[in-house]
Amino acid sequence: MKERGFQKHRPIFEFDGGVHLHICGNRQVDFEGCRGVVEYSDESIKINTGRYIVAFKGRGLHIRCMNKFGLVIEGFILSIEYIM
Amino acid sequence: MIIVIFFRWIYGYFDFSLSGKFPERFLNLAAKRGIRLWNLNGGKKTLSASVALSQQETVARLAEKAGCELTILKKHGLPPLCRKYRCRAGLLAGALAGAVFCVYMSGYIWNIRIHVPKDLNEYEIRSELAEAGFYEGIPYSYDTVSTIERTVKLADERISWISINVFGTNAVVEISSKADHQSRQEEENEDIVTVGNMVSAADGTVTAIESKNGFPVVRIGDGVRKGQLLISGIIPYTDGSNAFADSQGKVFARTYKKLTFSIPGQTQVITDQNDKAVTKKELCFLGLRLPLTAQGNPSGQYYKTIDNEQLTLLGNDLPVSVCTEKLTPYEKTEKQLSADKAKSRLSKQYSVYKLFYTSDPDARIIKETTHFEKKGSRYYLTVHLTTEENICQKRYVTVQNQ
Repeated sequence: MKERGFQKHRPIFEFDGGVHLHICGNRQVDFEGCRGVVEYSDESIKINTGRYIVAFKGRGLHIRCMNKFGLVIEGFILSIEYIM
Repeated sequence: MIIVIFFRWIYGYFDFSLSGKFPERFLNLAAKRGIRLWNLNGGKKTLSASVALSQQETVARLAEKAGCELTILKKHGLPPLCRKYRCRAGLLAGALAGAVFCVYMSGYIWNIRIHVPKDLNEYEIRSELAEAGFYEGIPYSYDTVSTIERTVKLADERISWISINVFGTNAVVEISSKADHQSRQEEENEDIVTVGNMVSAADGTVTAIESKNGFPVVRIGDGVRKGQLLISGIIPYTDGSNAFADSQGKVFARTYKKLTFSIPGQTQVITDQNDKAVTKKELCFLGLRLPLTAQGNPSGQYYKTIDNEQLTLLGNDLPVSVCTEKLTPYEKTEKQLSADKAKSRLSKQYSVYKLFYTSDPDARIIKETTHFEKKGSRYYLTVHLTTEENICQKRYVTVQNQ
């Protein structure tokens, strides 16, 4: 069967084409469905999801760990913005 | 998380910093290649992170591709540590020797703890175990321990059950005595009933009976012998049945006593010579006894006191102890005792006896006669007492309940 441009063994949220965010207060965000980091500084982190960019703004922001499916952002988050 | 940190340390990792126009591009490339990064900290066109040592070449290539300059800040973990100390072969040899020593020593028993019931002596059991070949410093073997258990059980008739449990280099010996086992069996056996009888503790003539519980089998004026039943715990009923009870009561009787107190005509006086006492110390380590002092035994007669201090760590006894022996010499001198002094001392002995005897409210002295004499090298004080006292003595018997 012909695959529709998707890679095998990818998590379901990628097939779904969506992004899964798990926000713990304003201190930590588990971000799944990341396609790349667009901007990275301690005041702003922008993540490309393919359809849109999610921008986190705050103080002392940093990426705790990162792999090709997702990342964990920590710091004092002041706002989350979806840039279409 | 601790396991992750441990494995990162085992495989090694390094901290690095990136500076360039687009450090984010490095992140995306690293994520695409499946390189795990942690401790990521970003700044203005700079980035610092940690990565496994095995990814060093890939990270350098990706940094070049992203147009960034890579600077390795610090290396952590076991591989850099080994590289740092590779010229010091002694450390490795010492670590290996230590590991081999620990493995070798863990095959031996270095501490024996004995749990004995009240009617047995721990020192005796320890000696019996040592005679059977179970002592601190023997190599552990399951067969040996089983044989020792059997040997000790057969050698000591008082032991009904013994178990040696070995935990690492510690051995715990659990012992149950026959008396303990028997009493427990009797407690568990519901068919056996314990009956408390009152028997006579001395010969005499009964003068009064106060029976609170039980069946009195003697009457006032009866002559009784030592050991004779006075109040029975088995109460007979007119229909032929019996009830079992723990008899209570008092039976007073007029008794006759002959007491003899004696002391030798010559008395030995022992004087300690503490100024000539010698203290020896020994370090008991892994079954070996190493002297810590170079002192000989004192001349003449001496007595020895031993004090053993076991070293413990976190509640566990270590196979290291310091044994202190104090050898105190003494002098024996003999003195002749005059008749007056001897009589005075013997009278004091009798007075103490009388004091204790009359402190019992159920006992009183009716008549007393004393006679002092010297026979051979000893002085004697003979006392003839006529008393009235409670001669009841409790004796338990077990009967089969039908």
